[in-house]
Amino acid sequence: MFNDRSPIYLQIADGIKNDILSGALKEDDQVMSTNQYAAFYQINPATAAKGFAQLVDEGVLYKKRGIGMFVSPDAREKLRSERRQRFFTEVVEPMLTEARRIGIDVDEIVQHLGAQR
Amino acid sequence: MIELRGVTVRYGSTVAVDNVDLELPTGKIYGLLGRNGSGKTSLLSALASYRRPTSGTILVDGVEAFENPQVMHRTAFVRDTLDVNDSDRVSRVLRFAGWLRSGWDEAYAEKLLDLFQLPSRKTVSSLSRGQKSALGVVLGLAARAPLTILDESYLGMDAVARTNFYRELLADYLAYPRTILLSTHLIDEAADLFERVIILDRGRVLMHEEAEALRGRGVTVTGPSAAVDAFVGDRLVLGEQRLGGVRAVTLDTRLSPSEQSGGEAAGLTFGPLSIQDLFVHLTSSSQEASR
Amino acid sequence: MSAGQALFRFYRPFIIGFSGVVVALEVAALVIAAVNGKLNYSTWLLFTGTGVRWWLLVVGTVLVALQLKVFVSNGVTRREFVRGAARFMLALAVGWAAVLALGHGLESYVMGLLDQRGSNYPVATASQMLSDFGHALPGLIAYPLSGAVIAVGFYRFRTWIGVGVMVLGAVPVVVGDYLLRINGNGHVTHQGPYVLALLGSLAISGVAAVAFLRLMSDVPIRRTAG
Repeated sequence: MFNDRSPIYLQIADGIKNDILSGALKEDDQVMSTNQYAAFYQINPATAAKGFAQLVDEGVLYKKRGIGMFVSPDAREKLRSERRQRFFTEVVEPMLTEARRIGIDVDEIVQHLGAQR
Repeated sequence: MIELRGVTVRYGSTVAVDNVDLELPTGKIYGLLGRNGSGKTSLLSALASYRRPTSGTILVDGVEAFENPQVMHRTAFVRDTLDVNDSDRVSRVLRFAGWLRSGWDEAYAEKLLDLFQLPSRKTVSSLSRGQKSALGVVLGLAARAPLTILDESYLGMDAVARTNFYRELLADYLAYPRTILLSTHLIDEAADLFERVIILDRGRVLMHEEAEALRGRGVTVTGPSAAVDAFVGDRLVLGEQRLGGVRAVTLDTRLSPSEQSGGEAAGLTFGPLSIQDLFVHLTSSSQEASR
Repeated sequence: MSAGQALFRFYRPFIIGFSGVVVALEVAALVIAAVNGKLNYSTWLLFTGTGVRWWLLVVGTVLVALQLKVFVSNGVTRREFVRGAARFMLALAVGWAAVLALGHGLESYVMGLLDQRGSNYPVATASQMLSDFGHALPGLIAYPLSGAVIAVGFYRFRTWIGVGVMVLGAVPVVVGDYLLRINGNGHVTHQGPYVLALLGSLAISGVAAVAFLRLMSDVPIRRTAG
């Protein structure tokens, strides 16, 4: 389920963010409880709690005392703008580095992308 | 809180546990990792009052643990060699636990017997190694002891039984939160269950960390020797391999995204290090690491 | 439940079984004796006087060798276990001493009714039964104690130290035997004044009990091979 590349709590947070971006989780939807999450993914509940705490810190989730955690109304918008900024540094630039390494020039890429439309 | 202060366990001239200091907040699942002979069982035996430490003290919730009824009533320690009599039937072993343990959950014990397909009419001596381990798990979990210590409780279990074991351990911990210490060699299988990890090496605590801090902590770097050398600089190298002009090193470090992209631009590839890999590198003898 | 209660419950079937065997032996012996003429000794004293002591010695050994680990692994302290075991063994000793005396009374009564008492048969008067009880009890205490001390010696130490402990551990048995000797004729005999012998036996058992407590107080729970 989870890989060894990074702490599980970050992977949990990323997973939930992806669900929000894809629309699988909508605003004010309740997310699974820490214990449900731990039992489902077979991980320590403290690890799950850490992932949720990170999302609360980032304003992606909010807590209702005694009830659970919910998706913040503006979460999707916030995540989109964040990811959009990161898209060029984290996706496009490595791609260009690789393209340069193997001798693909930018025009060729643009052409390819144009065909994808 | 469980506190170990200067705990040493000696057998004649052999030092099994060497001046261990540990502070373990209660209510967590701990993974105790160590190679064979690293002192895991001796340390756990002292913690469970099976053996008085040669020196040092163990405090549980502020009181000295050894032979303390308050502490011992609330502790369950299951060793790989079960502390039961071979000629007893499984049913009698469990009945006895029910008599002596105030927190014993008989219905849960029955459920676990079914889950592990343990025949209650069989004698302990006729059980397979895996079934004996399963019996240990039943004794350990159904006791619902606030301090539950399972010492390599998976020995001889097949993959299905081990999966059931991890699943039950976690489910019961979620339903009845308590302190669980799990010693294991099968680190990759169990690592996700741990909140904290303690690594013992030759009787000493090599590391006591949150499991999350260990994940993604180490990294392998592979590439042309010169590029790897330049990247490593004065970082601590845990292990390395060479093949022709290619060098692969294991580093005890967490890389920032910029370090990683910089390295990739220089022709290096990076690989993750699991807790198990990290454990292997940390506990292989220091000579090998520096070679 | 407490360690003592658990021991009673655990041993209940064994006690019943053992008692059944002793009673069956007694009935068989009486029948055989009656066929061969009148009874000149108490078979009951013979069986319960010697048989029970050895059985209790075995129980004392088993308590340490097999049951200590089960109790400790179920969260019972050594001290609680020793206390429970002491209560259990003492109750067993007093109970058996009473059974020994009362059984002798019954045997004597029945043999009297059937006119099977020989001239040497120890008739169970009230004072004889009291003497039966008084002579049996110290031995019934000493035997399991010796068994337990010997067992803890081997459990705790290397073999040759265990052998040393065994020699010392046997002292209460030897003294108990001196105090209560059931001879081949089923008579209770001892040399010297009873009170001195009683005090001597109890004193030695007391010393053994203290030694046992010390040896048990921090005995490591051994790993059984597995």
